[in-house]
Amino acid sequence: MSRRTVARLGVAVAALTAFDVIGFLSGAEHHGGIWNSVPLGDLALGVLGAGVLVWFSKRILKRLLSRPESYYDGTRQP
Amino acid sequence: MRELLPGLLVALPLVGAALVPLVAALFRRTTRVAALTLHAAIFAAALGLFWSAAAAGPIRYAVGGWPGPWGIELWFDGLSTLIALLVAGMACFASFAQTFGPDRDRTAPASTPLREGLLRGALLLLVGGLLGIVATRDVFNLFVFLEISSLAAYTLVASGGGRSTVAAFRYLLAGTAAGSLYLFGVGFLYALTGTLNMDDLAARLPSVEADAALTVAVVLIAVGLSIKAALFPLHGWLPDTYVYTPTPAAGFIAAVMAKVSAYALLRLLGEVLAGTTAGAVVLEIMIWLGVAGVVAGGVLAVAQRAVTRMLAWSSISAMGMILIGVGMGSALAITGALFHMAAHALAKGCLFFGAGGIRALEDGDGVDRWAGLGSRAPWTLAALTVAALSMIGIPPTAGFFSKYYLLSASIAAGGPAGIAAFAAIILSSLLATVYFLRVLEAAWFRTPGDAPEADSERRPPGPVLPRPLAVPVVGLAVLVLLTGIFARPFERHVLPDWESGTARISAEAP
Amino acid sequence: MSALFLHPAFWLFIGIVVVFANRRRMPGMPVGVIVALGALLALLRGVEGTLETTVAGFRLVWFHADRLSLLFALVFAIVALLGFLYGSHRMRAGETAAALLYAGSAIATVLAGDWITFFVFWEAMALSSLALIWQGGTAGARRAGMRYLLVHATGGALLFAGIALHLAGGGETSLGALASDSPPFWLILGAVAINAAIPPLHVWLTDAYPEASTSGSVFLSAFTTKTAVYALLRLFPGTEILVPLGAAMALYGVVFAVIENDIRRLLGYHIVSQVGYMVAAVGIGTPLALNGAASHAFSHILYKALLFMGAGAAIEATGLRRLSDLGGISRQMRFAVAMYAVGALSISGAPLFNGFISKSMIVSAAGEEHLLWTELLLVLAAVGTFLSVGLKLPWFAFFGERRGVAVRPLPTNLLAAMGIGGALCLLYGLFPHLLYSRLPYLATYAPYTLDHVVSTAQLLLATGLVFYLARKTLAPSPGLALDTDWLYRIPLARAVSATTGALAGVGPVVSTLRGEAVTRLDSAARRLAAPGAPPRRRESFAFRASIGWTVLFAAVAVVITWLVVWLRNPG
Repeated sequence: MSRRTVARLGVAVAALTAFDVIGFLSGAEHHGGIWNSVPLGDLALGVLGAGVLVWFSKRILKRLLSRPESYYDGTRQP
Repeated sequence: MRELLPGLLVALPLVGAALVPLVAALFRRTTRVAALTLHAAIFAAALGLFWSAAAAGPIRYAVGGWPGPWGIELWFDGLSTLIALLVAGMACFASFAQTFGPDRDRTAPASTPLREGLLRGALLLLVGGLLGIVATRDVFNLFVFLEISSLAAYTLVASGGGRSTVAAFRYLLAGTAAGSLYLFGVGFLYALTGTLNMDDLAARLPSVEADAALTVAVVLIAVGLSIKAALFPLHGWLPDTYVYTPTPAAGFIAAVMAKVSAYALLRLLGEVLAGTTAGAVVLEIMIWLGVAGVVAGGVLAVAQRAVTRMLAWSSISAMGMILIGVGMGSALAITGALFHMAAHALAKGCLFFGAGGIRALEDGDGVDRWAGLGSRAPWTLAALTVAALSMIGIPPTAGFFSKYYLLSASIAAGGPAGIAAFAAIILSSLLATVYFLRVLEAAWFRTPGDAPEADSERRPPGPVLPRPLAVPVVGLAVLVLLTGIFARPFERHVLPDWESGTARISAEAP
Repeated sequence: MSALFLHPAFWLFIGIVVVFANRRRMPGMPVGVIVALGALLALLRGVEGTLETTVAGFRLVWFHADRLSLLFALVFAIVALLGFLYGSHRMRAGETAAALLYAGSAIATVLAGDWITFFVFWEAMALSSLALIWQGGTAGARRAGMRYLLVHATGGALLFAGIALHLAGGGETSLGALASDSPPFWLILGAVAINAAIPPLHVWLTDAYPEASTSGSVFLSAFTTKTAVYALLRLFPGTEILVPLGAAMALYGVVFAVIENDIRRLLGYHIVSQVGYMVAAVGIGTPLALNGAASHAFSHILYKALLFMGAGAAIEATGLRRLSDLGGISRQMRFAVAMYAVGALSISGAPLFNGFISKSMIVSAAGEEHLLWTELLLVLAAVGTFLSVGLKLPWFAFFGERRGVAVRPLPTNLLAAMGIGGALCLLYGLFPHLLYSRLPYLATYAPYTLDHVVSTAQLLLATGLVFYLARKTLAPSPGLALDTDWLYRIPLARAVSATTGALAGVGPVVSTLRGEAVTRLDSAARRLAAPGAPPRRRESFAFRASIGWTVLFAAVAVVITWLVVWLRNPG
């Protein structure tokens, strides 16, 4: 990551955090999970969720289920 | 006229069977016209009886003026006139198709005018025998007509030469065994009750209920007719017969022969002998064998590579379904069974005419022979598609409604047999989807180039089937649709007669 | 007669006749566009009401328009129009007819008011979609079509059984919510679950959709699953088991999409995932949730069609279908990529796009019912959706490293269809009341609240961050991933062929048991048939005895034994 990218991301995160806090303080309606009611909860959930998803799919599922394209060739099947 | 029709219906084909070969020998050219006219007249008589019975109630006709129980009676109610109509109608199409000639096998003898006349005569004889079975009220007379129809059928099956001769011989073995068993059974009944008239029999049976010989009689009759009706596992003769019979005759035999025997089973076991203990047990067993037949026929149809053989196994599945209905015996089940007879006869006739013609012209019976037919002959293939959809049971074709009635009857019957029948019928639809769509996919979505041994130059573009086969195929497909759309009036027409018939029999019993 | 023209499907069915009548003179597609337009106009009047005919004693309610069915019919007509426009440069008469029948039966299914009409068009939909898949024309399409057929025939049989049981049990002939925990309830739910692609019954979708033609898969993406969602809304609102199923389904599709390499199969897994939202919403069953399911179906059809058009555009332009083969083609097809991006942002639920206004409704409904886990799973699925459809697919297919892939220019009609699709996604995203005013249930919802927007933006941003970090790991590689179809492609297929093999093997065994007698009879008959002819090869058919023969002889033997027994001691 270049320094500029980091800076841009930082600005975006800061802006969103500000929105989030303003929204929270202004009493905007919340419901449901804890990630809605804690500032920056959504951001954390996104990072964690996407990370776990990538890890699970690519590292575990792929190893279990991946087969060569010709796997079904030549089998008697409907 | 109403008084004349019953006699005409049975006499016309039998007389015609003798006349047509004579016409063929004397005039040669006019054979086809003469046979078609006769078939049309028979159909008109059947139609007249159908309307007459629907409008003015069942008709009882004493042959030669000798009333029952001594003389032979013919009986036309909603059920018998319907099957008679079906037989006569299919015969018109078959007679039209006979112009195609029995040329599917190269070993078939060359067609001469006399030979054509004889085969047309045999078809008329077969029709006469079947109509006799449908109409008669006398159990021995039924045997006579059974033998007439069987002998005519053996002739027609064997007319292809080569393998069809052997198939006919096997059919003869099975058919003779069946006829003898039935005759034994009738003999026992006669010895027990001293009568051959069905109504009289039904009235006298309760007095001999305790006699063990009655059980033997019921079992003999049931086994005999079940062989003819191809009830699983007595279906052994069916696949080879249907496959090796020349196409015009195959369309007719596959459509109605086994059904008429099933109708006889319905008359005898479902109506006359239903009150006996043995009859009730046999009917219960018949449901289970029907279930086994529905499943086995479907599975083996899926396993076939040749189209006509697949159709033959699918017939075994369909006969199982009809006999499930006969076995259940409720009004709804009988409606389903009769309606399935009609629906299956129309669709299977259409498919056999089509598949047989394609087999003869494309020089092979494999699914790959159907590749690309959809673009060459869209109308013929559309007609065959309609018939196949009816076999699967897609509304609004006739096959949907017959399965619907049978399913409703299974639910109403309940119990293990009802559940098994329900599941088997659903499964048969599923299997039929698989084996029919395999063929339709080849016809509509594949080009002949996909076939392993493609020689597209040999196949000119243009119609696939010659007119003698194409007309029955399209006509029957239209009928399949019409029968489906007008399903409900049919129910109103047939059911009351069945209910009053069984009620009458139980009322006459002392 | 004029009432017929009210029915949008009637227009499409007329189109089939026109297409076939003119199949040699004009290409099929303009006809498709015109009749789809007619259907759309018939629907825009939005007339509610019921029309019925009594055919053969059955009361057939063939037009039953209320707000729910009109909503689905409307979006079906829109997507049909888009699909025909999209494919008009290449679809032939056969494919057009199949698509017309498919779209028409889907519309007729949602407008059906009784069970029989519903079943008829449900089955017509299955068969016409199969025809559309087979129009793909490859050997792969043919085999995938056979598997598709197997699954849908099973579904149709279940539905038929369920309806028969329902009607025989004295149930209402008109469509309506079913009494729970009865056999028809479970049978019909099973049939609908197959069409809704609920795992493990979902593989027919990811298996077959990528095998159709590019325009074929646009149609396929729209109708079958969404008709099933309609059926769930109509028949099973508030069925609790659907909540966990839907949530699991939403995540299942996402997880498999992450490792998928075929672009249209990847999108297929996202149909599974998105339908999961709708299934869960139907299970929640509050008016807000049901509205959410209906509106998400509406949005989903538009953006998913757009995404399939985008994937199809890549395939049309390059002839390639795998992520690992594509890459670096965005410069030559900027407009198509831009429109794909609109679709991708919509499916990810980004604010200003139509996915946002419907997806957030479902998540909010789950929140209001305090279904914490459901809400969490749905949010996670949203994250994964953006990850693979919004980032992974476009990155590796359109951008990324250049592989020297040749790109053909795209036809105008294709781009026009994508443009209209993108415009609609934006239109409904910017003006939600256009959709909300058509929703069937009584619930009000405001999508553009501060916390919704901020929370969604944060999730998407976080996902982008993870993608940026993990893009090496996410790089596609050739190969396929096993799914539940393995069960019927390997073990079941082996079992079936073993069974039929065993059945076929019975013949020779039986004929050996039968001994010489019958064989001699056969050869005698053959001599009769053709005297002097050389004996045929025996194995061809003399040995093809069937089980029946043995049993026949056994039966005769049994009967004779009985006879003897009975005659000796009668009574």
